[in-house]
Amino acid sequence: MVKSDIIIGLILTVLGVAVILHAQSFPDIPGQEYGAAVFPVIAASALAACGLLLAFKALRRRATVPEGVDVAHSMAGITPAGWLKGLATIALVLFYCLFSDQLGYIIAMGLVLVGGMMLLGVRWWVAILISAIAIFAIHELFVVLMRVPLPRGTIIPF
Amino acid sequence: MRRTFLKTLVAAAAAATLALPGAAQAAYPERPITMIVPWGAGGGTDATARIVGSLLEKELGQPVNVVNRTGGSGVVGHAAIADAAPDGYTLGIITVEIGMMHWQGLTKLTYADYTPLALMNFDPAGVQVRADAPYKDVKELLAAIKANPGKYKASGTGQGGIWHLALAGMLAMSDIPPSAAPWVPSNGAAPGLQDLVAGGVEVVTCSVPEARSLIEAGRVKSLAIMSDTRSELFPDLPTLKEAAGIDWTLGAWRGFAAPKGLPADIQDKLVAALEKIYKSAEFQDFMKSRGFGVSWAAKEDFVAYMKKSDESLGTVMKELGLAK
Amino acid sequence: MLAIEKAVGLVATPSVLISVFIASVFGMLVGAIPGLTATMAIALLVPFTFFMDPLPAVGAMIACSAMAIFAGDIPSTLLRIPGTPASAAYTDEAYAMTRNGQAETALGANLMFSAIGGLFGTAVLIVAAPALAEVALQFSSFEYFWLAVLGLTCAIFIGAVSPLKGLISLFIGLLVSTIGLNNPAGVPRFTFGYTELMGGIEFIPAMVGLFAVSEVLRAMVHGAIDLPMTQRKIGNLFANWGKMVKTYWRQQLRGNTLGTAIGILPGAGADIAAWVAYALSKKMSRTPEKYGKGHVEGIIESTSANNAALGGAWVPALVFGIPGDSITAIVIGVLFIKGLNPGPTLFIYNPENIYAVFLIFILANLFMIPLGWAAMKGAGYILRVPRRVLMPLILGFSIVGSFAVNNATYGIVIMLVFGVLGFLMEENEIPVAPCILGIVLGPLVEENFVTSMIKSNGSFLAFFERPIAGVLGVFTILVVLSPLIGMVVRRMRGPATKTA
Repeated sequence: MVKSDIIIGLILTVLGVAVILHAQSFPDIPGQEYGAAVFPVIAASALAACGLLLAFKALRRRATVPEGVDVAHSMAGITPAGWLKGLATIALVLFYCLFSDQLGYIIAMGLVLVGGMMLLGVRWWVAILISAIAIFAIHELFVVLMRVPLPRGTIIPF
Repeated sequence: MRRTFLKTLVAAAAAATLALPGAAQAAYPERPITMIVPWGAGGGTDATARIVGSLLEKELGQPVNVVNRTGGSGVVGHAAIADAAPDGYTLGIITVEIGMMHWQGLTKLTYADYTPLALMNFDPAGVQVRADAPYKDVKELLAAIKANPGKYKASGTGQGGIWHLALAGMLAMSDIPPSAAPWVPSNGAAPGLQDLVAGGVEVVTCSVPEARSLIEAGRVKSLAIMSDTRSELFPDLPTLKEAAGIDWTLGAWRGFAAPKGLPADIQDKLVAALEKIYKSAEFQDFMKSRGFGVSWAAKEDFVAYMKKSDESLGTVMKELGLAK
Repeated sequence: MLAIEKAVGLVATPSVLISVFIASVFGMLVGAIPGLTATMAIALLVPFTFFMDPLPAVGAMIACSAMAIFAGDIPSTLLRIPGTPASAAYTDEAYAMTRNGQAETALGANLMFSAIGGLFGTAVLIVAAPALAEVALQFSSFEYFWLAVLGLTCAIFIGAVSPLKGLISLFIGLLVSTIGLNNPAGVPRFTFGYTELMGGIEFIPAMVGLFAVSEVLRAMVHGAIDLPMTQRKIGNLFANWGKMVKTYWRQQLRGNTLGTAIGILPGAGADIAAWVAYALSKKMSRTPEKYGKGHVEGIIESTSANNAALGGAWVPALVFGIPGDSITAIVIGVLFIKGLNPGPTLFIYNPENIYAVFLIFILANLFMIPLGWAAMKGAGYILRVPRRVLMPLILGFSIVGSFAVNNATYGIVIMLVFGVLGFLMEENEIPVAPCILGIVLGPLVEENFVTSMIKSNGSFLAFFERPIAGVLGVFTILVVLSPLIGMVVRRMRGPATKTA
């Protein structure tokens, strides 16, 4: 926890400073003394200050803890396989974003659901069966009842 | 180059996939139509789109799904309409802001990026003050602003929004610098009017239907309307020209459009359907009950209308320093 | 009293009762589906109301919105997906109760206190609508500024483990809220030329990402471990009702009052009411250490508040035609179409219509109990689904829900980004709730600050010059400083308590 706090604190500080610098490019507005940059700069300064404080506190705590003893935190316990599954989940959602317009909601969602369940170790035929039911249910709720224009797809339009 | 998030992402994928075949439009429409509204549910634009959508559904025999694409002062929704496939299955309601956003440098989109269908609504700006305000008419109000530059604040929409331009144009036409009545940005007409009643601002130049309930509640009075003709809703309300001799008119319009490149036969079919709707009792009654003004211009007339609107807005915005 | 009799006659017709009932079921369904909001449910009803008589039309909308706000608590408790923004304030608390095997207590509390809250808001609406609207109408940007700042201070009190990390989360949220074109200056900020970013960060996909997608990612990364067997079905929802009312009537009353008060203010609705109520509850509680770990007290207070706010929002809507939130904004439009023009005249010329509207409010809140019971029993089956199946389904629902908000894939992208952000934040013990609060309140704080400064020609003193603003300002500053004052007092008392 100590080590990660230092890293996070520094990341937030850098982020805050970057925002402050970027905000300098916002134009002035005639008739508005407090322009577009004021509020982001206040929020970013506060964020940077909190980040510094977090890192500083962690450093001080580290000094009191014997060298090499880092308090365990949950992220340290993630296995490489766990990280891969997390990334695969993100990839599934990105895949849906990129290709749902072409494939249509039914196919794209089917891949996301079946893929997600397989990642968690559901047997493939169970995954396909449940996904099919879920896709039908979501379609009825959103497209038929709520008139949400879910992508129909250009390859096999439904 | 301004490209959208998704465009950048899908460029490769889109290139590999064939576009929808353009043929087989004889039976248009053969599937549900989507109508995009660039403003939020609950507003006047949304209400207009929904009534027209439900009547269009009857006319065309296919469901018309009204969807809101909000954000970015209308930029996002207007872009979504222009970017859709010109197959007649995505239409949209476009508003006066299409002639303003490009001057502000927010987008490159203009009225020329659409296939025009028809103009259906126009609401001129009004000049509203608190009911107990000391001014009898616009002349007195303008004199007060001129005598105390910077003292009286005005509101009604965001910075550089249509009602801001209405005020600025009125002041400029009366030889008062627009900075004499500083603009307090608000999130639409309703909060601006509330601030008027709460004593936060002195003038609100929104449309009269927007101020209607507070006028009828006796909390707000309207001094004039920025139009050539008087309002049907408040026939006693003078026009700006009648009240103060200022020849300045400005208002918000709403019309229907499709993405550029819509086949002519589909355009004809849609315009015919819209004209029938415009003349229908349902539409006229609806607009009347909401206090919205009706106005009709189709195809080329609509383009000419938008062109004129675009140019006059550009002039005011340049004067105000809002244009880039 | 003749008007009330007439009103009963108006309401007790099959067409009104049937439309209220159907709209209730519809609202319940929409509210319980993640990503679909009460506002969306109402917007979908609009085309139907064109062809209805005035009273059934308005009745349908009232019933639909009341149910949707309440039903948002169901997925929020069972799946950690807040069904509506108004549920976000106590999502973590309710979900923690589900994990502790107390889902029925959480859901039962939601159901009962939502109904009571709704009735309370209605009672206030009936008794004092015109008088209260008058007060609310006097709120200008100065008053709203203080109110928004007061809301932000909630982050200090809801932040779980470390106040510093709560603040970090809040400021991340505030920065996120500045993205886009929707700022007083009307200039694009942090959009880097992308049209979609001009619209800013949609609140609902961000919320779904922070709460639900982060949970899915956690299950993927750490493995989907099933909940304890005890929590596989919903037990008796009504079991603890009597006890809860007896133990927590103060919290309930406070939540009701606060919710109604916030609801009455135009521009502040059920979501803000729920946040403030939750923070206040923790602040005033005798056992604040239990909050965040599955304690029903905060849920009671904030669920009481958000449903009461709904009634409150109708006060300015009916009396002045000023929408208290996006739902009333739509309903005002429908009222105009139906010739029931909102305004004081509505109370004078058509009192029976107004009473009929009030009766429908009461009816809707009574319908809530059996309908809510059925919905919760049905939803309870979710708990039996193994989490390795459930988590991908949540992801699928989140994707579709985020898309539906603005009918754009952009919503899914936001959801994903915030899902990853929420995952990283929580893995490092930074709470996500203050971030949501920042996204909600950021624009309010900024707008009201900037507009106030324009009005006062740049003078800070103006924030204290108006009487209500002055009181709110001093109160807010005291609240902000209270932890500091508390620390000083404790230090001074420190030696004394040690000797005692």
